[in-house]
Amino acid sequence: MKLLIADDEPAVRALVHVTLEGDEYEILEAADGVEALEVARGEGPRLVLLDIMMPRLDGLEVCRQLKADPDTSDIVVVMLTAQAQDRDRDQGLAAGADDYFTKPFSPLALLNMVERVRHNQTRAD
Amino acid sequence: MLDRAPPLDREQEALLGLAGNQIAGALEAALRLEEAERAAGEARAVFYAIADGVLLSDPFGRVTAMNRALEALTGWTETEARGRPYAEVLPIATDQVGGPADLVSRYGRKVPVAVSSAPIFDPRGRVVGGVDVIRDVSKEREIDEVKSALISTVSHELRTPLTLIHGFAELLVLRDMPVERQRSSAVEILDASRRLARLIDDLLSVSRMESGRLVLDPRPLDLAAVVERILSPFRAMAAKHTLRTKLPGNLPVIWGDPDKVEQILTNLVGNAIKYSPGGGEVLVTVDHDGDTVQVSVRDQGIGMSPRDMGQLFEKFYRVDREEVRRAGGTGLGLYITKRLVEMHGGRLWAESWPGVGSVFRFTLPTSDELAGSGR
Repeated sequence: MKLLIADDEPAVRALVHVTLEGDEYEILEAADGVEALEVARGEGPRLVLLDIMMPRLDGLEVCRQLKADPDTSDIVVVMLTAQAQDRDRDQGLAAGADDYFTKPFSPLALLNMVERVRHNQTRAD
Repeated sequence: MLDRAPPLDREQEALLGLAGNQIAGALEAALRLEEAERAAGEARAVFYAIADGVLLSDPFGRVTAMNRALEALTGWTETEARGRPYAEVLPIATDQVGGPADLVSRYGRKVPVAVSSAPIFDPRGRVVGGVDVIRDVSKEREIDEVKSALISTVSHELRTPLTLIHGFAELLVLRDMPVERQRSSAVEILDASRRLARLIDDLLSVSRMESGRLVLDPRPLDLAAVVERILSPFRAMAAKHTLRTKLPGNLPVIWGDPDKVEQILTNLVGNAIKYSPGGGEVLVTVDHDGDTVQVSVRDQGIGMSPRDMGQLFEKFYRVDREEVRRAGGTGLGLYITKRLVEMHGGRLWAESWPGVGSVFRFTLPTSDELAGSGR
C-alpha cells in the first residue's frame, strides 16, 4: 500500500518510516505542502499523513484541495498536529480530514490506524 | 465736630444686631459658595484631564458632557455631542456579551476598549444621569496577542522534539529492531533531547534579556584570544570545514563581557558550519577602524535570498528551507546574538548570496572609546 508522509521535520518522517517499516508499505515523503500535493496527485497514495504547520502551503489547505478534487478525494487524510487545542482539531475535520493525531503521538497507535486502512482497502478490493 | 457718636437707643441696638447676623450669614454663604465652586472647578479639571474617556449623560441617555480623551477616541467634540443620544456618540461593537468590545469612532476606526458605567444619584436617591468610563485597551490587547502567539510557537517548538523522543523510545521499548536501527533510534532521541535543552536555554536567555535581568559584566578583552579559544572545539569537531582566522597584530583592547562575546562568536561560527553542509572554509576576520573593532564570520554555505533575510533577526524566525529544517535550531540564536551585540553598544548585520555563502559582521567598541565616553 502506498502512503505519503508530509512533514517539514525530517526526523518526524524518519520516525514514520521506522514505524511502518516492512513489505506492506511503500512510503513516499514530502517536506512541504506544495510537494505533498504534487506527490499525492502524481502517485495516488491510499493514505496521507499531513503535518499542519508546513512551509509554502499548510496541511489544512493541502487537505482541502485533496478532498475537493474527485481524483484525490478518496485518499484517506490523517492530520498530524502539534497543536492540542480543540479548535485545531475541528479545523482539520472541517477541512475534510478523516482522522488526526496530536504530537507527541504513539507510533504503535499510528501503525494500528494505518493497518486498519490497509484492511479496509483489502476488503474493498 | 462731634467728639463721639451719640449713644444708640434700644431699637437701634437691636437693628444693628440683626444686621450683623445677616452679614455674618451672607459671608458664610459666600464662603460656602466659593468652596463649592472650587470643588466643582477641581472636579471639572479632573474630568477633562483624565486619561480615560469619560461621558456623562442625562436620565434620557443624552450626552451632557464628555472629556478630551473621549473626544480623541470617538472623533466627536463635546459641543457636537452634547444633546445627542449616547449610543450615537459611543457605538460599541462586541461579538459576545462580556467579550472584547470595540468602540467604532465617527470615522469608522475601531478601537478595543473596556467600558465601565454607573448611574448618578441626587441626594434623595433619584437617578439624574449616568457616567461611562471608556478605556483604550489596544496596548493590552496587543500584548495579549503577542503572548498567545508566543505560547503557541513555543508549544509547537517543544512538541516536535518531544514527538521524536516519545516515538523512538516507544519503538525501542515495544518493537524488535535490528541493532543498527536501535542505535539510530537512540541517536534521534539524543538529538531531540539536546534540541529541547537548547530551546529551554534560549527561551530563558530571551526572557532574561527582555525583562532587563541579563546584565553585562564588561572588562577589557583581548579579542584575538577569545576568537582562538572559541574556535578550538569547532576545529576538533569539524571534519569537512577549514576554520581560518585573519587577526591583525595591533588590535586594540575591546570592552566586553567575556562570556557574552564568546556566546556571540560561538553562535555565528556554529551557524556558519551548520549552514554549509557541503563543508568549505569558515573565515573569522577582525578589523580595526578608529574606535570600533569589526568582526566578520564568512562561510561558503547555502546562503540566503534577500527574502530569506527579511526577518532573519526576529524571534523564532527560521528560513523556510529544507536544509535549514534539517540543520535543526530554535529560531532564537540570531535574535539573542543581535541583542547581545547591541547590549555591548555594537551592531550586527549580514550579507548573503544564495549558493555562495554568507557573511555576518558585528562591531564592538574598543575600551578607549568607552573610557573616552566617561564610562
